[in-house]
Amino acid sequence: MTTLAPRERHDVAVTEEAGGDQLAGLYVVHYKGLVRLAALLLDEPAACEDVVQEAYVRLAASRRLERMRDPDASLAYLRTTVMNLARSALRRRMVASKYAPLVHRADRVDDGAVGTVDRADIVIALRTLPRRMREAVALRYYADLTEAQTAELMGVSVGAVKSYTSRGLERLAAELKVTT
Amino acid sequence: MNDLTEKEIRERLERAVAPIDPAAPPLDVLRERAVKLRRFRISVGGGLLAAAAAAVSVAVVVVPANGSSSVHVSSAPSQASLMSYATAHGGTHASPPVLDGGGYVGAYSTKQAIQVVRYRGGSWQPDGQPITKYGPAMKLSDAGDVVPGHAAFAVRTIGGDVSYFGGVLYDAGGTWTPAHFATCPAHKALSCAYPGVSQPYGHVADGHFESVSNNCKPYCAAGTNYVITWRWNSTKARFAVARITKYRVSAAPKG
Repeated sequence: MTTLAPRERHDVAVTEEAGGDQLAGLYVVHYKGLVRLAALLLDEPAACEDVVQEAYVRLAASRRLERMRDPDASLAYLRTTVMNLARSALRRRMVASKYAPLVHRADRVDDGAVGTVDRADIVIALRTLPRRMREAVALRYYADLTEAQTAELMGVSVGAVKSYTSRGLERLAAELKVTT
Repeated sequence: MNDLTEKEIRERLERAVAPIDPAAPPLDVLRERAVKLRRFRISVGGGLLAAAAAAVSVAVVVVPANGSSSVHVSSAPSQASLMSYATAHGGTHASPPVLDGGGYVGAYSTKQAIQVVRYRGGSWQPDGQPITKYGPAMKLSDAGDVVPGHAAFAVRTIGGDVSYFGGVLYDAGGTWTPAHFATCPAHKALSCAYPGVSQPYGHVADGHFESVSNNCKPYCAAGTNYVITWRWNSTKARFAVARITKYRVSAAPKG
């Protein structure tokens, strides 16, 4: 079994606090972290919470929790679902943006805290990366996943993850005007 | 000098998302949605509401001839509806529906061929003849924009001594056509390009089609892998090698 980084480690104590309800435990501990991860994967602030809530709905609907004795496996399922939903959301937006009238960034409604994230240099730079590269960087350096975990989640080889993260860092550095 | 260290990236990402402190809705609300979703899946699985599965409303942007645009709510087919259709026609795997200029298209595979279907008038209908070039496909997915300007499906098949082969089926002006791959003369010795319509471990990554070849020298487990990025050549209507990145299998990064 892969070892989870501290941030991703499921807090058994919280699950017990939640009356042994594994879904409630996962919700209490990881909801915020997953929304933050989604904010790095998506470029549509309003969609972050929707994506994460949908992931929890799917987990609850799938009855996986009943089969998954390991809370880490449930968390891995949630992360994978968040990433897949984020990909779908981006794809839908790409199609829509081909036809929809452009909305000037300044005209958009400010989405509170998530809107603040939009203005962070690192997030702006991250969003210039191709999707896979962005995912690899976010999963490796924000979610603190290992290369193997990232590869499994993205459905690519460990070598590809190395390549994506390495190239991603180079491009981030360039975007942020930092000499590498 | 590398001023942008991994540690710094971690810290900056952490700082950037720190202001996000979402108020989670009551878990019971999500549980209710889960129950509804489960009921919906069961009804689709039992075939009682297959037609309902075919009509999940989504917003689709329509551009009228006068150039102005407006948003309408219309019916979009689901992958479940396509799978139902495929199963009824001997299909084993189905793609997600893909939106192209003429509406939604999908593809499903049987043991002999791949059939592209188009969603018209609320049901799936064959679009062209079955394609037998690939053999039985194990997975069909949206290939995105790997053939720019054309709807395309990524096709994955069992690959003999490799885990899978992958290719791209695209809409060549109304005819669904398996995309061909050019050989790569500079790398003939590597056998990096297989003749035909599919490549070892061919898949879509990062908006491009990629494949992986191994030179098996001195033997495959210790050989060198070549990750080949393919780019569509619209003039010659085939994929050509854009970039080759190699790494030794024995030196493959450890997780």
